Amino acid sequence: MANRRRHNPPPQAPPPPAAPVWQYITKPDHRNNSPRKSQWAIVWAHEQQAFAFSHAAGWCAGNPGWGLHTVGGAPRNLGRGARHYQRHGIDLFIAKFVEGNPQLWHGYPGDPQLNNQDIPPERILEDWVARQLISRSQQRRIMKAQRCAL
Amino acid sequence: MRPLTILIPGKFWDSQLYMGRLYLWTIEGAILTYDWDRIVGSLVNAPKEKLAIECAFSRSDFLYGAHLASVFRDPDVVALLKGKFAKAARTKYEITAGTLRNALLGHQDTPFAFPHTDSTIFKRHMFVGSRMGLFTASCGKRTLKPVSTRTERVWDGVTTGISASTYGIAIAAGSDGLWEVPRHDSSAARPVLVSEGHASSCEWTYWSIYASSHASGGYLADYTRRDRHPDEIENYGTYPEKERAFHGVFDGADIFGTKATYTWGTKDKFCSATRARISVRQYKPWLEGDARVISLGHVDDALVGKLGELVSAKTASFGVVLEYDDTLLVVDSTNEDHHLPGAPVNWRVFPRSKRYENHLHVVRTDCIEIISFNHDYFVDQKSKVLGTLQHKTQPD
Repeated sequence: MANRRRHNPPPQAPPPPAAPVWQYITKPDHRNNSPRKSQWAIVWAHEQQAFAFSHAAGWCAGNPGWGLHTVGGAPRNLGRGARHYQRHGIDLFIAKFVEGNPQLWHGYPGDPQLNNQDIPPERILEDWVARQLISRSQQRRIMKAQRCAL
Repeated sequence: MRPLTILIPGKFWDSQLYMGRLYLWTIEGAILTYDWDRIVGSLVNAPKEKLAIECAFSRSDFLYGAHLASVFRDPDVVALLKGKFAKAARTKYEITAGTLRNALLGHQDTPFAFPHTDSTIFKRHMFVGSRMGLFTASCGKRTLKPVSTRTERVWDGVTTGISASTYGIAIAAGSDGLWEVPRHDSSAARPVLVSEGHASSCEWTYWSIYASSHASGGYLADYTRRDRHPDEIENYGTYPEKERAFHGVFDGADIFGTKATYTWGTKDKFCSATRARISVRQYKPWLEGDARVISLGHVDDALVGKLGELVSAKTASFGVVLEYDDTLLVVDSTNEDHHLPGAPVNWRVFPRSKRYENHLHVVRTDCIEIISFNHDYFVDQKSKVLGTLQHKTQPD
């Protein structure tokens, strides 16, 4: 059989990054010191950055989505637990993002120690371990609703 | 007294040890089943070294037996045994790949959800919990694979911790509270809500259940036992003669008379760790009134207040195990500290085991350490504060 030469197309400049199709809004009840709601400890711009990063990482492929506030590649505290439910306020490290309407997202600091619904699913935690954002020890603590500082 | 340690290299998630078989979940979700007695038998060759190794790793019941109480009153015997344990503790036993290969009984994919939150084995059945629920499968040596691939769902809610006893399976379900699957008719048993209080882990305390949680502070689901009516026994012949009756839920803060932020209990002991102190209560649920829970005082320990935030804690026969952000601390039943630095991937004790109640399993990122504490054989069980009461003395 005769050899066929492959003609690769000439290199092209990468397409310009598409503007995100999603919108992200902040919810005031997670920033107004409401005692029954967890409260963001990061500024609004960082909250939106955390969502953009998490969306790009594929952690918001489902609804709800999940996220981290990373600084220098390491997760940092992003919120405080709701005062009404905590025996003592705790730092929170995991963001939970909800797509309330198509492509319209909002989020709040999740409290996996207090709410089962705030424990990210295994595939998200596995991805965080693979990216060395959390350790296996922290993965186990989050899954078991134990105290866990990241 | 220094503990003995066996180290098995590998990347693991969890471990169980039951009736001579060691089950290791690999980080990829496989279960490796090993002949544990064969591994222990390979550690030493000299006959005079075998007793300590055997009692340390595969037969804790040899030295805890009530019939040995008189033997332990002989100082010569005590000195001889302590010397044997001290000598054995000078070696850290690392299991070679060849020994592991020879002891391997099975290598299979886990039939359960993975990674799971907790596991236990009771009456030849393995129970494994996860956010998908609680599942069970036979591991009774009569199936083709060491753990049967035929799993059965026991509970379909989030499971963060489990504990099994003759009374049933207790399920810590996080913010869904504490549940129980009664044992007496387990095939048809339906889960029963015990308390809506947050529970991240749970343990049986005789016929009651202690739930632990930072969110709730922990609580005792207290039961009493009463004799069944003879007609009831006749009609339901397989039921135990005594029936459990729910008495109430008591907060850890009420039990300890302080604002305890984390409390836990196993068998006869309830504990609370605050600052540099472990407070202990003894539980005697067969008594009446205030005599059911009595204070045993506290143990002051400087390290308890210095290692950061407490993550979780358990009580075993040999003392209490406290998990902090980056370390484990064992305060043994002689009040001696054993500091195990590094955040473990996982860890467990076996307070209801017959042969391994002196074990602490610590899963690290590159190995599992199987640590055996042997000082408690020589401790007066009735007067000890830390650690559960063992068989050498019968309950009052």
